[in-house]
Amino acid sequence: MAIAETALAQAREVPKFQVIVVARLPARWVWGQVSSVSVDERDHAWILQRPSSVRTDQKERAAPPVLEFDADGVFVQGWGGPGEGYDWPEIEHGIYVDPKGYVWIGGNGQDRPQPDQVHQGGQVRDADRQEGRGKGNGDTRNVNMAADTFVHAKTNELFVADGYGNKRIIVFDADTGAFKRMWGAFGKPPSDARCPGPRSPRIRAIRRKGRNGAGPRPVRSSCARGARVERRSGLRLRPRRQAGAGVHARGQVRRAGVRRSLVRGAPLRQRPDRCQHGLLATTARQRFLYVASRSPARIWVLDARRSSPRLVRPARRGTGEFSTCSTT
Amino acid sequence: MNTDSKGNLYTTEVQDGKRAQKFVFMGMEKK
Repeated sequence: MAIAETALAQAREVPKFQVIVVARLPARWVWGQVSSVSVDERDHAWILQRPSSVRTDQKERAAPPVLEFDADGVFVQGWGGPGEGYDWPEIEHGIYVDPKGYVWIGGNGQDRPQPDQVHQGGQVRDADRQEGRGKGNGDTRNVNMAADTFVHAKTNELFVADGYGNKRIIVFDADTGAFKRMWGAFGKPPSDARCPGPRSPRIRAIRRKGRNGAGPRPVRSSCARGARVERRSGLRLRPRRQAGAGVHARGQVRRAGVRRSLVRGAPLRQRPDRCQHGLLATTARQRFLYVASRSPARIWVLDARRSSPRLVRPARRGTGEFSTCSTT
Repeated sequence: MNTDSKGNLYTTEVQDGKRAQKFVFMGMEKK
């Protein structure tokens, strides 16, 4: 009985937060759109922003795309941008610092869609993939407009979600870049077949059945369970095992995301309507999922075991609230 | 969005947001 009561009490607990401004730029710089953040082994925050989005009359003051801040929010260094000997994405999208301290950048755009592996000091370590030459979902050497990356330390594997250009998760050896495996929607081989529009009869029928075939973009991993989680266009998030294709048989893939049915009873304006721009992170103990939805601009806290959501913040522009949650 | 070893939550914003915020984990509270 005591155990049952303890479990019930734990289930009713949710994380509590106090907001602070994490990062203050040196006075000479201004922010562009801030697209992604990664936290390294030292709890330093690495922030990726888009200098190209700074308004015209402030272009000269645009901060570098990669910015490092220590755990107290003190600026450490800034670097990045186009240069000789490596490719830099036209539009910065995702940043990830792996356990060895390497910084991975993903981006999109028409000219420079490749992800690069760059050193913490800004020196390019390996950018051997060919710029702008992706040959589609069957290409195991080039990615196409990678949104996000992740390195699983135990296997030293690099997971890349290049859903802006393709519709797949592709896995490389993190050191050599050798292709290991890939998969697309529902764990099947990725296809170049064009996805129908979100309002097409086919997609409506798929959604009624609880499926969506569009490409994945962000990719994250929950280390404790060895499961990788991908976000799919639509209203759902999906946890998958790292092996990908062939392992998501019934019982191994389940919904973990925000659905209208999960917030039944909430006021209509508090229900997530567009989570396709949301993303997912996990707490250190892997118990909660944090989901950002774009419309409304919210952070949802989900109990990973119970799929019970909790609304954390309303959507306004004050400190601690959101205008638009990023996509990575 | 990301978390650090202490459970703090970091968020970033595109479009008109143009900022990064840190939500300091203060522990658990009852619903």
